[in-house]
Amino acid sequence: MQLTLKKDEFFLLNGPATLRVESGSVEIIAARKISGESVEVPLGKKIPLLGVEDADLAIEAPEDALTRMEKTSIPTEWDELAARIVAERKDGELYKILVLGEVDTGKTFFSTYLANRLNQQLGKVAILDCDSGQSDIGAPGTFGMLVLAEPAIFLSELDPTHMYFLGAHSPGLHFAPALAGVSEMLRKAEKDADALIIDTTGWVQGDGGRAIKKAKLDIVQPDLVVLMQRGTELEHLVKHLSSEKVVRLPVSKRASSTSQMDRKALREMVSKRYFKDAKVFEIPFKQVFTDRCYFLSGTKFDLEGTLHAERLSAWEGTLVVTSGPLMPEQTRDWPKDLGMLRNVIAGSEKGLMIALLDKNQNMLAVARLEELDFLNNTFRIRSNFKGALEQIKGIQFGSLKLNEAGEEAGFIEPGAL
Amino acid sequence: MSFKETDFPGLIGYLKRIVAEEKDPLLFKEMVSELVKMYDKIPVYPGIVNMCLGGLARSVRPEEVEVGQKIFIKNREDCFCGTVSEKNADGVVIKAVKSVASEDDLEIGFREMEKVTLINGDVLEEMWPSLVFDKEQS
Repeated sequence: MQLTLKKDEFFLLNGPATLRVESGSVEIIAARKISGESVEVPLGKKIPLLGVEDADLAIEAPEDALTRMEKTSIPTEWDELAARIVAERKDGELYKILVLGEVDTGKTFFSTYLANRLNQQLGKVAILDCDSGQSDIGAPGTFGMLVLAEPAIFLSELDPTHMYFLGAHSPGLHFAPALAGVSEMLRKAEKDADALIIDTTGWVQGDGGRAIKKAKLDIVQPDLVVLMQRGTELEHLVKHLSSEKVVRLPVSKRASSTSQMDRKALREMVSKRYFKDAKVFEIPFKQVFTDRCYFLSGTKFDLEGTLHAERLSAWEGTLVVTSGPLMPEQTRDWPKDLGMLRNVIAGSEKGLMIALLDKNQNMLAVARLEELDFLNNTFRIRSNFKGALEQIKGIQFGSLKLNEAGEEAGFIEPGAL
Repeated sequence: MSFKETDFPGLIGYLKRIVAEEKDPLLFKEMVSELVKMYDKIPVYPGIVNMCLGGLARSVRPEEVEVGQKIFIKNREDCFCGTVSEKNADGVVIKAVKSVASEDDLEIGFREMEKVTLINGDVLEEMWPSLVFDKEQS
């Protein structure tokens, strides 16, 4: 279908759809698209089209995919906020904006809009996506950061500039890595960008939610905190901040809720895409350090009836990998000074989500652990990592399990391996 | 006071509560077993296990039990558990009965039942279907 969009007219376009600007220009989430440019709208996504001048658009989509709206759904406060940030930012300093909100309050849409607006007016803008359960930047189970070279419509379509591995969909049992990740990404943004927008998880209540949000606020020391709230549900998080640092934005009535199963389907879609071209390769145990696990952190020794044994530090005891559950008669002749036995049954590691790290602990890629091969002393790994294998100097363990296609397949208890 | 930061204290709280309140040893064991089963399925989400525990055991009136349900019954003399195989106006017949005193089939009238509890072993599947995976895969 053809659409002649007049200046200041506003439409919503539901995916799947393809839009091509034939003349004039249109603004989509503060990203201007000019004559000759196209946009693919995936299934389940919708975009606002705002006429910034008269434009002719060719749209491939069902008739009911396009809805004309009375007025723009973008509040004027969003543009006023962008102007305020531009005015407040000091040269050579990273301006930090932390966005808080419960689930389904439109934090990512707002962050994208603000990033695009600031990109035009300020320069290099980074978006840090801390929602590892619903990653828009990078693979699920990670924090992704994108330094925008130009305005973007769908962050998930772009390769992240940096990734940090959490290895879980929630920071719940991974507080320390989650906070270390924020700190690490903050350091990177200070080098790479003029402004940083931190899009956070919707976990804002209860002991854990309060604790982690306060810790993030303390680490980031944001110049501005944006509350996207329906009522006053976020106020407890900002009582310590001066009022000029806090901006309150109402949640759009168009912000739609996403069911548990839809969230899982979206995660798996991103994960499957990430692992689409993955290949299996091997890394010798001796090539890498391991992180967030006991495995290969101790002193290896031979122990009858095991595939692998290593003494851990002091009271941590001994890690033993066996081909089946450990029976009392197997351990009868073992040395008496082994302490607590941590038994891992070979094969239980299959499918575990891991990260490949370089020598500086920068994340190279997410991978799936296929097997710990004790015959050849290698990790068998499935990943789309394209670089030289010699670059891989570290392996970081997560808690999620994936199948070969990248679909979710369960969990492993943190600290089990 | 400071924040707990993990949800494990909630699980301990549940155990403390049933240790103090649950007088039926068969039901107590079942409740702990179900907790362990759920935790093994989702060891990274003790908070969700805790949430599901709220829907695990349900006290019902004796007349409400249905054929096929696994039930736990306590009366003044004994505690029983088993699967309801028959139901009539006066009571139920329970097969494969376990009891503290004996193990046999049991015919018991509603009036003899002081407390009847149903266990929902599918509570995780019902409350968090997105966290249930094929056994083969996990």
